[in-house]
Amino acid sequence: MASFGVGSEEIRSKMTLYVFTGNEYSASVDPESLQILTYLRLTLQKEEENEEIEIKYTCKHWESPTGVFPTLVSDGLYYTGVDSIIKELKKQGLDLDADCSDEELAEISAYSAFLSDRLKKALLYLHWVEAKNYTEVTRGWLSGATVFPFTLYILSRQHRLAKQVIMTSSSGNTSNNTSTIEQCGIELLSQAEEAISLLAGRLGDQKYFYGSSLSSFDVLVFGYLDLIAQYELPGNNQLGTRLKSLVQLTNFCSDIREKAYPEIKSRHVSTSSSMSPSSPLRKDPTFWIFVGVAGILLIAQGMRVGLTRKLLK
Amino acid sequence: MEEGNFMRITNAKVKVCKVQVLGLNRTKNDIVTEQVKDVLKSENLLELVANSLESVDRLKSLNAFKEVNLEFGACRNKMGKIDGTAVTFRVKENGLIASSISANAGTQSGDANLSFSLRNIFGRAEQLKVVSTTAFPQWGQTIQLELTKPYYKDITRQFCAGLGTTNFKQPPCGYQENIYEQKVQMQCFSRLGHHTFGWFCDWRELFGFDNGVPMSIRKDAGHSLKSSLKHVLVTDNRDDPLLPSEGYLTKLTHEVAGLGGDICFSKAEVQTQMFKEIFPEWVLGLSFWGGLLKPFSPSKINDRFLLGGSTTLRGFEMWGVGPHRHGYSYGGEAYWATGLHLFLPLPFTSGEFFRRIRFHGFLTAGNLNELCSLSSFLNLLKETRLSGGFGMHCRLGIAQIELNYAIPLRAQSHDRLKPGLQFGIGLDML
Amino acid sequence: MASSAKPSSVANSGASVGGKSIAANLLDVAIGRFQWPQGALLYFLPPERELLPDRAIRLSFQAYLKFSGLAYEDVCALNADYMSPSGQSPFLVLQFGTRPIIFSNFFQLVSFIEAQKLGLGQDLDKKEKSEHEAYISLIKMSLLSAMEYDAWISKASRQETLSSYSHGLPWPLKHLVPYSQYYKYRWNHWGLYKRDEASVLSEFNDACNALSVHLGGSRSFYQSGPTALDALMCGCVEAILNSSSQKLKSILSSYDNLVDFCHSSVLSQRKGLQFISSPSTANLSSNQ
Repeated sequence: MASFGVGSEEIRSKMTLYVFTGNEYSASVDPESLQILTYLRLTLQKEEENEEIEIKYTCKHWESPTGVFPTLVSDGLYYTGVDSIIKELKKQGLDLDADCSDEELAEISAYSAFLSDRLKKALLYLHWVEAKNYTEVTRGWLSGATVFPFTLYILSRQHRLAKQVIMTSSSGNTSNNTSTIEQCGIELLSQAEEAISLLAGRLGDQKYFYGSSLSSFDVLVFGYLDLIAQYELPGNNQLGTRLKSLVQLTNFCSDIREKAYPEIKSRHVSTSSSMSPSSPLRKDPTFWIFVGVAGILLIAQGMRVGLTRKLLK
Repeated sequence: MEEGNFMRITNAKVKVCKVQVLGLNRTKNDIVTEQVKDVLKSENLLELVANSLESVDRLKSLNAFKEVNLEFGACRNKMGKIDGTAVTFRVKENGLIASSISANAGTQSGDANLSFSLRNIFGRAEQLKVVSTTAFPQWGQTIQLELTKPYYKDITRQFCAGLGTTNFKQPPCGYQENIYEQKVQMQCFSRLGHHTFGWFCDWRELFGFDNGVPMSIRKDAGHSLKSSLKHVLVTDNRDDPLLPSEGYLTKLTHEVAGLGGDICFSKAEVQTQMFKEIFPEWVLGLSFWGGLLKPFSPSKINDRFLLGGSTTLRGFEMWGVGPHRHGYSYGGEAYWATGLHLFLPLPFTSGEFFRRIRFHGFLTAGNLNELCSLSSFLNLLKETRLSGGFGMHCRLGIAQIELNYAIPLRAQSHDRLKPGLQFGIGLDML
Repeated sequence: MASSAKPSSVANSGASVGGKSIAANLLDVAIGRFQWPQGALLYFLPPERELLPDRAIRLSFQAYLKFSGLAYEDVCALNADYMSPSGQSPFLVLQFGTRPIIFSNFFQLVSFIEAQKLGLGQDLDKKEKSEHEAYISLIKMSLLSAMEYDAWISKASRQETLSSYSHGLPWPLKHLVPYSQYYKYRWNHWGLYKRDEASVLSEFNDACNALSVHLGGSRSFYQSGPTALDALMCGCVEAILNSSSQKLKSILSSYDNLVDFCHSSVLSQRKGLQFISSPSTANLSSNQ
């Protein structure tokens, strides 16, 4: 938290950040969005947050200007990908790594690649492909955030994209269907498990990865591990049990969670979380457009078969 | 007396003065005229009836009409006097679009067939057909588009052009193949039988080998282009194409590849079947298959012959006979196989459906080998594989289904055997 | 690059199958005894067919096997990519008894060999080990994907990539296969295709910077001797420096220590020098 002073002296342009929706247990259910949110929480002071940066929570990919999450809009430029967003935030004065040496910065960028290589795909598989988790947990995340026809569309789109990413990245000849998505998943999960063990080895007995001060390294690791720790998945929960057995990493997660999100309860969610009943249905203009179009189509169909004429008579 | 009357009537002079076909809508006149013109030549009543009935058959075989009805009437001249006979064909045209779905399923394999065709598109019995076949579990998929057209207005001579794509797995050899095929072919009848001449151009891609497949099979991976001329002659004088009891069927195939493309070979194959009814409804069937491949460049695994399985040598695994490399079929350049069947009817049953199901006992023998020297040619006879068994045989349309209990009687050590129950489905069966 | 490696009998110093699941899945090696088989073959595409990322991986394969003192022979095949189970060249064939075991993925081979305790990373401590994996991921995610982007997507070298696919094919296929491969690649790697070149290059630059900082002035990434990371880095740098891709080359050549590192390790491979790092590999290379 060394950079508070640095940031406030500069004049920053207003930034907008588009992140994937969260729920009452995590600020975002997308690991990369969670990383950026955590980074902001740890660099900005609470009251500053709304002035400096406008954060838009949404799960509709068409509302994000680039179609992906997270996306940062700063000075009319779009930044996607955790590395480039953090780079831009650093330029804007929100630097968590001011105390890090070059060697340490190099290590952070290596671990950033390591995490997205090993854990990102494994989480994509667990959340969006694995059948039981997908129907029981992931569906619940979206049902509170948007309404029916969009839920289905977004779910199936994410499912398809996740499958594509997993299939192309696996070592088997997946483009020719010699290995199935389940086989790829098993391979990814064992790699992810190994990665978690390696992270535990790297952390050792320290509080954070670089001793007692926070860095973006911690934020990157937190983004993935918190999502694993917070949700007890009904289907495959291989990573969750592995993480639970590593006390130091679990403590590390809950420590950062308390620091960044004091308002969020730390509790395991077993099945679909009970969402707040405040339905966004009526506030959502797209919903009404949808209803309108459906109505017009219905009437048009009715006219075609002559139903309306009969009714009018 | 009666006989004399009949003779007198059939020999009675007839003058056909008018033939009309009613109900034509899309169909062009010239092609219909060609089918019915013989009626006009009839001179007596017998000829008139025979010619008319043949014309009805020929009209039906155009595949353009749902119904063809025949009417005879009197033809009057301007004065109102009866002048001769008028023959009227009342036809109902088929709709332009036809589609069908069919499925075959079994314990080991099955396929679903979806076809969609445009009949009689330009009014001269042309047909455009799209067929999609999916075989499962995950064995392959085929999509074919075919345009056929009779030439010289004669329905027995057909011109056919087609495009197709097939992708399938060949687990016994451990590879997958994608084929994009084009063909142009002509069909006609001669005294010898039904000929098909054609040019076939296949773009093949071998890929997706299993992890254990040895290098000698892997080396054929990648793209290849086969451009070949093919002649198929089918001679059929069986008494019944579905359930034959007498007669024989011979299919001779010659293929020469190497007109462009990178595959050069010459291939000849013969398939023949003979049937003989020894007791009422006890049918003895003897079949012989043989093939020879002469490659002019190193032959590829997808060009070589494969033998074994429920449709050829029963009692062996699919393609389980002949040269193998680390448990994967390698194929060979020469093969022969022969089968002797005795078909018995099901007892205590009657009716058309049960007639299609028969018991059979069989003996099959054959061999497949690579041709590298004279001794390997002699080995074809020496190392004969033999198997025998019994089971049920069912004829469904053009496909045959068998459920057999088969035991291999003679085999080589590298063959893959499958003694016991075996289910087979196929168009051509040994 | 012709290999001078001869088939050599490989002594086994009580290696046991480690807990790595990938290795266990791949091979039912009799637990407790693993011998590097004779006649290991590395299949790869001839230079005119080889794309930049394929070449980088091939050079890494060769460097890794030479660093570890494992004997193999090079085989050049025009259809190596179709022969490979993953559809990508190169691949390594190990003949165990009658069944071949095929590694078409560099990372899989490394984790297999490390699990058999034949590899180079035995002397790394816990922290170094996880760091080692992290830098390997960095090369995989940034350098290799930048090379793929350059070969398949950037306009400058797309034509070269397409023409490389037409080698050795008969007439109409010469023109059809390259495009079918291109569209297949595009369909399967839509995410990469949608990225803009500047972001890929800046990621490439960042990765080079991180690697250069990590390497410092030494001749290998870790004091104990060369590791899989050195092999991979060396393969990538050598491939890029000898490629026709001006953009990647100019970025990379600004990191002098990476270029020097690559030259020195290529030299050491040519001379057949072994970096003997651990007693277990010492007797492996004794008869070379």
